[in-house]
Amino acid sequence: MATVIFKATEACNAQCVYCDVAHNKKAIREKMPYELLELFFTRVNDYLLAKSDDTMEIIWHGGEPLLLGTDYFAKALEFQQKHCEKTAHRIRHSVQTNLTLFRPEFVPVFKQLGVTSFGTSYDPFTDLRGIGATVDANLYRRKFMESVRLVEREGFSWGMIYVVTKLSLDRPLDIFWFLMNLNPTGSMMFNPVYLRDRSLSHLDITAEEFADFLGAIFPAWWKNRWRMPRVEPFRMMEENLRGSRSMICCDSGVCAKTHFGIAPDGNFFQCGRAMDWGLLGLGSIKERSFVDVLEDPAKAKMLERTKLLGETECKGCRFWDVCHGGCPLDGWLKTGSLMSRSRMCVAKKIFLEKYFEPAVNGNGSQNKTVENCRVSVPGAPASRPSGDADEKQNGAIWINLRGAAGDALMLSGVLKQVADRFPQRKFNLVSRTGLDPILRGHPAVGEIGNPPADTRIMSADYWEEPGYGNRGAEAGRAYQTLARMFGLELPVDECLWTANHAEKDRISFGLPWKAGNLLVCPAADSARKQMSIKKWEELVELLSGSDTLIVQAGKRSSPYIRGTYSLLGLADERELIPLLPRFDAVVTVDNFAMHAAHLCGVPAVVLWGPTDHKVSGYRGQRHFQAAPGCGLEQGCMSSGSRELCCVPCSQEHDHCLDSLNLQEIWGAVGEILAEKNEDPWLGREERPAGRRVEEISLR
Amino acid sequence: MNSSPDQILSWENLIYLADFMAASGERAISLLGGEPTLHPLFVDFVLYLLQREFRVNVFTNGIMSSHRLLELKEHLGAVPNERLSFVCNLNNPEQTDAPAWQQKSVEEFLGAMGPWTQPGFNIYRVDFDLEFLFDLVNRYGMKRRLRLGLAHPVPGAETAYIKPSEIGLAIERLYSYRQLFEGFQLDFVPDCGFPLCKFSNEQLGWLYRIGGVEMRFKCSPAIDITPDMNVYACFPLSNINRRSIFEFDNMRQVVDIFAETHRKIRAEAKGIYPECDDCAQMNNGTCSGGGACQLLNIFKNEASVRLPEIESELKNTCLPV
Amino acid sequence: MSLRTLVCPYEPELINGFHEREIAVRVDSPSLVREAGNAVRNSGNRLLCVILDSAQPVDAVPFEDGWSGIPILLTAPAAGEFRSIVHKLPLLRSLNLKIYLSSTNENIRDARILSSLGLSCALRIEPGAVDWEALSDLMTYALCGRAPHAPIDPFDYISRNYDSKVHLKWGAVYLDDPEKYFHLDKEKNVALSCKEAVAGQFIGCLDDIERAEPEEIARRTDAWSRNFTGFSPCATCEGFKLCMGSLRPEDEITEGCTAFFSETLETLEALYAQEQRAGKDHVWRL
Repeated sequence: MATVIFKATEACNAQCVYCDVAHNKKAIREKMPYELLELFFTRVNDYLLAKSDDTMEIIWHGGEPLLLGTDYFAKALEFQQKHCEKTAHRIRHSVQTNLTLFRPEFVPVFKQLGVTSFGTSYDPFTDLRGIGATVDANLYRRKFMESVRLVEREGFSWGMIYVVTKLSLDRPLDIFWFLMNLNPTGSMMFNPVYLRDRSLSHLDITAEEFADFLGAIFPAWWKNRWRMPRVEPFRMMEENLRGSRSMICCDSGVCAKTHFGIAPDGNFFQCGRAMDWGLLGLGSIKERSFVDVLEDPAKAKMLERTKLLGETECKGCRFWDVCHGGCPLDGWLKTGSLMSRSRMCVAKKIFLEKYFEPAVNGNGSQNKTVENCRVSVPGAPASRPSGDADEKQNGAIWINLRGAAGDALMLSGVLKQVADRFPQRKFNLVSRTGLDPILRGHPAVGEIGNPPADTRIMSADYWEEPGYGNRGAEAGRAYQTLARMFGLELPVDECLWTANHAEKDRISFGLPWKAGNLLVCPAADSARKQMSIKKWEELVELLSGSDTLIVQAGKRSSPYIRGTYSLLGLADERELIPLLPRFDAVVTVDNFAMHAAHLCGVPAVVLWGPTDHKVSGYRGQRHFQAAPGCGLEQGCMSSGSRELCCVPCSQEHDHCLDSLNLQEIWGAVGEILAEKNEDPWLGREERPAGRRVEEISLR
Repeated sequence: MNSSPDQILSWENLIYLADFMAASGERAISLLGGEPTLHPLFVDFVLYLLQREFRVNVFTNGIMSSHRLLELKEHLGAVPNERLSFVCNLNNPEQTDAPAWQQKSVEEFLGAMGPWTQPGFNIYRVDFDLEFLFDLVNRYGMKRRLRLGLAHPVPGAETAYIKPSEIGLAIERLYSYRQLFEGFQLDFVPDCGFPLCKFSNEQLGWLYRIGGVEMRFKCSPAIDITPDMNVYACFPLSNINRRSIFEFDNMRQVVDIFAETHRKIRAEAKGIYPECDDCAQMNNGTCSGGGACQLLNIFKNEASVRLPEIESELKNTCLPV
Repeated sequence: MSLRTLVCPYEPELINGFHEREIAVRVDSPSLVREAGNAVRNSGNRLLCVILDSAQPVDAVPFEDGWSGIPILLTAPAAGEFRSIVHKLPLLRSLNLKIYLSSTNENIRDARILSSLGLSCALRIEPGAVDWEALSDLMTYALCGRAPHAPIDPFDYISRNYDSKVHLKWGAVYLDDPEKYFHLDKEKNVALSCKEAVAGQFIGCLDDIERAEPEEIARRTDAWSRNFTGFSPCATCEGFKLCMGSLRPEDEITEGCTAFFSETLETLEALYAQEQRAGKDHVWRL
């Protein structure tokens, strides 16, 4: 869209202290003659005919354009209707005014011109803006407020520019809220003051000061932006951050392509400010068309500035896309060269880095590291068995295991190896639900109960040990880690052991055994380690056959898998152990049954997701490892992240375990059953004499 | 903002709680304490809750001023006893040292509100005497259902309570009153913490026959809310995981949090007896294995090996031996 | 000029002189409620409500079954004893009743109680004499209370009419809006608010005013904008859009009201955002 800063007069009824036009002796106070006004509209029409895709915005500017009077605007309307019959629909008028002269008489002609909004400027607290030679600020405010009410009553919208000066710096929030409470229906913009007159240097602000001013008000806007008008530069920065490219002329880097100004005498300038400063003149409307002006070599040079800055002063700046070196006239003000970047670039940078990004991207709170999230038991100093002397002096060490029954079985195996190697070493065990039954009667365990206050406690939480979970190293495996914690030299055989299983199971006599007998154990201590019921039922359907019994074991509260023979709640951990050898295979997840199958030498097909078979699974078992789709490549319950154990998986239907291929699992079970047929003793109740459960520890 | 100090419930908080309960689908509210009838706005609060369509149950010791009793009679005397009920905790006058004026006050209360009132009794010694209760029930037309509780250990307090080893004796003692229970058609509802295994099959059969009630041997969060809007599972566990009610959107969330607390306690010790570990009734959920508060006793004087909340509780309080 | 609703005393001759006007009629005796309401209806005018100004607390007002069907705006100094009111609740709930109380701490508390029991209330906020924190608490209850309850004004009005883009005037809650209500005496003299009517501060006769609207009305309507020319602390208040300076305390200590209106705005925005999200979550609609 081409934009014309159209100054039909530079006269003004106000005498704002910092205004270049008000104090410019060379400013043209007379109105643009009607001949030039008419020529202007023919040029507008010519331009729009030449650029059939373009539109034109005519910003009536000044001085104070309302000083032109209603007749002048009526004339403008007449000329537009006369010369722009075919292009009027692509012309947009807006008015930049102090509003103090707005009266009801202006309404009809503005509405006919299609004016829908007014841009204005206001300062609530200083006397920098005032009417007449005496710079009467009170009168200015009163007139302004009256006019704003009238503007609103007549259905126009209005926006505002606030010029930030030195006098603004001590009360940014007051200014912000004051202006917001005026409730402009259009945009609100905060601009720094630009001063050529050094006698006004007491009003000047540095880039840092401007940035801090914006920074002081930004949080209030950001927090309440939904009920605020559009406030610049904030809204623009937010939009740019989100990928849209909306910029004012100063930041676009291409203002030369789209903007020019016209003075009351018909002379062209690069823009309104250039006109005020007498810079970058581009000839006269009498001789030149708008196309000529926009294609003037001087403007092309301005575009070069953008390229040059991008390769020199502004090279590498990460805010280039929202700044492009700022207004060339700002640069000229500082260095005398139009090719310099604006001094307010620094302001933008400071504001964005110090205030905008922290607020928009969050408060910079650190993400938790895995280390920070580790669960630790207060007051439980971890210690390792250091030798007989220590134990004799201090009594047996108390083992504190905070895991589940499967961990207890592993511990049992490790302690058996310790007992075999060091028969004199004894430990006590902190009693905890579910662990006692596995470890009761263990040769390495003395007392199971409550450790006295002054005793030595040893944590058996292997998952907190350094090195645990390292899939590339044998020593990173769960069993190996536990063994290391108890002073065994690695690697060790991963034997499990328990003395406290039931002598005989109580229920197998009643089961309808078939040629092939499978045990499925879908439930685990964590819901994350479980495959969905639906998938299990599909698997069971695959596994089912007239000659195959599929039995489900687990807690009474576990969900039942249709198609299985339910033993839910009928066999606890101790009772499961004598029952297991009756089965040809176990299909399970990372749970107690996996460990028990290893203990009993029953072939197992194990399904993995959040935990890793390379760390926790046993060799000889068939493992199916699902790849997590949640971005946690190591699995959400890999080393050090057990705190997610009790938290449901957020992936729901995309849970990793549900991605396992059931056909492959079925195939693996089939292989086991086929192997069984080659081993006549597998799966039988009776085995050759001498082979007790505790001897079947490793395959 | 409360319109009264944190020690007593304010109107604003009462309304909040009523809204909270209504939004949670709860239709019954129990008022307890301390002694709830001491609240200066007790009658107004009860009237308010009744207007909000709640069933109101009040746990009281029956000891109150004559002015308060008059208020009860005047404003609550016409409320149907399905909407409003009292549980009056009664002590054997011969076994306790209560002054005569207290006994008189209780009797005056029962005289006024007997038909609304269920007797309550806490077993805190194995040689308890219940005979006086049957007399009171008959004399004042009380409801024929006894709320019977086991006195539990309260952290930090030197109160009498029934140890796990004594529960069987207490049950035997209770069973010795069966003729009176049957004769006066008084049944009882065991409060939390009775373990199933301490009842013989005969005793269980008797209980079922006299009341036909569903026998529950569970310990689960009761949910108490304090005047300053804190919430906990029950008074003996009041310092474990104490939260503000404002953290929750509904009662379901509250119950879930404290059920999790219970689960964590039970993960440390399943029940109050060693045999709880292998108990089928524990596994199938019929029995909770005694009160969670009793389990805390098991951890007293041990090294710091338990959950942080439990360790904190054990450190801060002095559990009775 | 749009015709205002007329708030006038119960004078049959006065009322019969109006034609097809909306009228809120004032009585100070409960015995006149039914009569006044019927008188307005029978006069060919529309009854907005009967305003009963009671010097007694609510629990002492002798409500009647016969009042049902008559919209009643009851102003009272206090609610009174709860246990007295509770016995009358079924009757009160059956009436078309709104209870107006001043903003004392007791009334703030009682408004919540009454609202929770299904009785519509309004609080007249006195700037120099209100506990803003307590009021804020009540506002939160009125706007966000989780259980259904009767509306509490001005919060209910504010929430129904809030638009972040405009200033909100809610004097209409108290029939104090010069653009909508004229307060008359029996001689048809017009005051722009109830208080001014009581104080005898009239701006002219109704007939004259309805012929040519005096500037005073526009000045009153635009009074809020004087905050911006007179360096009022309200002009820089975060909550201005909801208050517009109407509740500025005389002592100019504005922390309380600022905090209150800011919090109210935040609450309104949160509710609005919730509503927007609720709409967006629908997968399809009929």
